[in-house]
Amino acid sequence: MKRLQRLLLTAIALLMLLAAPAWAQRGNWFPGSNLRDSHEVRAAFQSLVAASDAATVRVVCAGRDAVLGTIVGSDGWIVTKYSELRDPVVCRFRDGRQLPAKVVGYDPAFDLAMLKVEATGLKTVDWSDDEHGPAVGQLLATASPGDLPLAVGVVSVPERAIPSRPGWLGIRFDGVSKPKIQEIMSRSPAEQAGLKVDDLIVQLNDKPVDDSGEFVELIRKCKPGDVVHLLVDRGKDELNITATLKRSDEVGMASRSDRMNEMGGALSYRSFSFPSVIQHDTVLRPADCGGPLVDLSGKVVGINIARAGRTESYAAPADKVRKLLADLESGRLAPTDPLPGTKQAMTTGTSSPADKQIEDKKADDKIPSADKKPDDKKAAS
Amino acid sequence: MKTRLNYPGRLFGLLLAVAAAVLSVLHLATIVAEENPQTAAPQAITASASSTVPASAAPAEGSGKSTAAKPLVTITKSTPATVADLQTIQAAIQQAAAKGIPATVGINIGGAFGSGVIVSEDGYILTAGHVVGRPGRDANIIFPDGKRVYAKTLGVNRDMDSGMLKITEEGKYPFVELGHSGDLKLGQWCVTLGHPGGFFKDRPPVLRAGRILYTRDDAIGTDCTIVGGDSGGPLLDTSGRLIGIHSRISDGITDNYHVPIDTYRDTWDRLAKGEAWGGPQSPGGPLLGINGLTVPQAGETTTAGCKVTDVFPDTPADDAGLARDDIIVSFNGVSITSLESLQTQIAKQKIGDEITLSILRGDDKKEIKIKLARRE
Repeated sequence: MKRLQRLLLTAIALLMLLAAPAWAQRGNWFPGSNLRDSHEVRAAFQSLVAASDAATVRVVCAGRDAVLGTIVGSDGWIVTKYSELRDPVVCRFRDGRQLPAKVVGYDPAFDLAMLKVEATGLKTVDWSDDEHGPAVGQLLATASPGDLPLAVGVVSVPERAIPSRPGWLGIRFDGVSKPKIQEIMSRSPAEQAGLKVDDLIVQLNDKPVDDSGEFVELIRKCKPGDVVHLLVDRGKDELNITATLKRSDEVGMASRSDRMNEMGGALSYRSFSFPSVIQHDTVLRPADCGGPLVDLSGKVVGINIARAGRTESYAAPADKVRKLLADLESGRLAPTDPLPGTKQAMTTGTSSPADKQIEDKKADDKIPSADKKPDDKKAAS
Repeated sequence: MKTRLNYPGRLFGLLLAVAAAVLSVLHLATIVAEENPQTAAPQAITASASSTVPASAAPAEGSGKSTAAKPLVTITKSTPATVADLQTIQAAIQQAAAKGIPATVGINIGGAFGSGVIVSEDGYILTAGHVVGRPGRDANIIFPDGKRVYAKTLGVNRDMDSGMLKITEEGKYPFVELGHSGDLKLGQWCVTLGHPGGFFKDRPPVLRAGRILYTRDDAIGTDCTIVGGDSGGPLLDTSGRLIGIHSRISDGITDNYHVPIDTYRDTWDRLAKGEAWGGPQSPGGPLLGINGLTVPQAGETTTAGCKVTDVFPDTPADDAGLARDDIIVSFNGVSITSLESLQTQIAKQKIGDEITLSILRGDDKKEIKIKLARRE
């Protein structure tokens, strides 16, 4: 008991010491603000990002600031991040003009969309020709439709692929032999698909499975969003069941790592499974993706495609994006499904991940709502 | 895995979170953990600490490493005004990264993962206290290229969250020089390295850059973002000298806390001797083996109690069948209304005591008997 009290007191003392007085003399810095992104530092980038700022638009979806867009063709071609879009899409230019946009191309690999607006004579971004991409430690600025970059950062690691996240069905097995369901998590894909405790899984996507460990591995190899077909043995019946996998953190199952990554701001929903990214440490909001990333030569080295964690943001490398442009503009890659947010809203009437993120962003802009607070009571026993 | 947060409240110990995350994956997928570190050559590193401390890493002023290349780039203006100023800052960041990356390692101890940094050619490693845990443990060290060597934990100061290890395989290892945390200036540029989220093949130590937000005797605050897995990784000045070790974070993006290097200098001999001291939750106490959360949280309407958020494998809680999302409502008949009230009850017990928990699992109420183990 004594020890516990001392522990709590230590914690409170630490919090107070770290949280209060140190910044009184800080001058241009106050708690919660990022000194690296101070006005002075961003101002030093002003001349470098000026051309890119002029080629950056705010993409407004259903009346909300959804993402940024990068002008890649002077007659109205704009690249942005696909998964944050929903109907109707409007581009707001630096001069205040607002033009309706059509989604004419979609690249699932980089989660990029091509927008088309009716305009001519637009300023376009100045791409970097460096085929190696930026080196580790290079300073980068994220352009904005304003006068200063939104934020700055450095390249964290050499260009790399980002693997998918494991798919999640939301069941637990009894032991390690037969895939017989012992437990079904609430609000999980398994529950929504109608799986029941004691169901014995016989087939996954028409292939027999007889070991629970093997089944878990197969599910984890799928991506969130993948649809899986199960044949289950329920007493006398054999049933066909279809489930759409999710991310395990979508329904309150966030791992500690996920929870920590969300300390410090909202993350992009689609932040995994990219063939190649520039990983940098710029602190962005999900709504700040889609815009150009500029190096100290003033050239665009990539397009931000995800706020992926507390320490990381991702950009699609310029050379990879440029290779996609013609196809994205051609109409051959036009998205066949309704926009992500729109689809969910139409078919289920429930809020989609995109909706959730917009709500989160709204909350971030103001005072964090009480129920969004990180788990300050969380500790192990 | 007997881990728990070292820092209750909003401060998250970085190592433990990763451990928990990894373990919850293991729980589902029944993947076998790291290779057994027991195969490490058992090599006691205890006695005559001072003499075993390499000159380059000793807290003495003359480091004896004057052969190290002089810093090529010095930032004279912390607040840049021109593109040339930015280029200087960029060059300095890259120079620090080049020195720090080869010496930044991943540390696996008993299935938990953290980071560390080598500070002497013969393999002394500085890390966070909560990565070390206690002296004399076997550790597996992972270099940026994936190469692995064995190490033993030495000392730990749980008050400061400082810790030390020594690689037990002879060799010449890349290392960084020690700097001074007492000299740091507000707004000074700095870089961090580490393995956020754990070690990934094909992802070398991850660089982040930022500025010193404040310095105190017990913590350096920066806007270099860190997260679980970074624990124990290096905070370097732009000359590539070690000025701090990653320790913990809190809610804000600027709440990144590092153990000042000066405390390692001040307590070098004790750490190198394998001494453990300080800390409110020393090993040896009773252990249940879960992470918990007071419920209801704001906006929720569940029964009051302590909700189980993680059950660690091979702990009493795991053996007794306690499961995630169970809500603990009483402990030996005493009502539990919060995480703290559960901790209070556990702290009153002795190792080996059998206790009875009343839990809610969905709508079912259950009683579970659990024999408490020793906290490692």
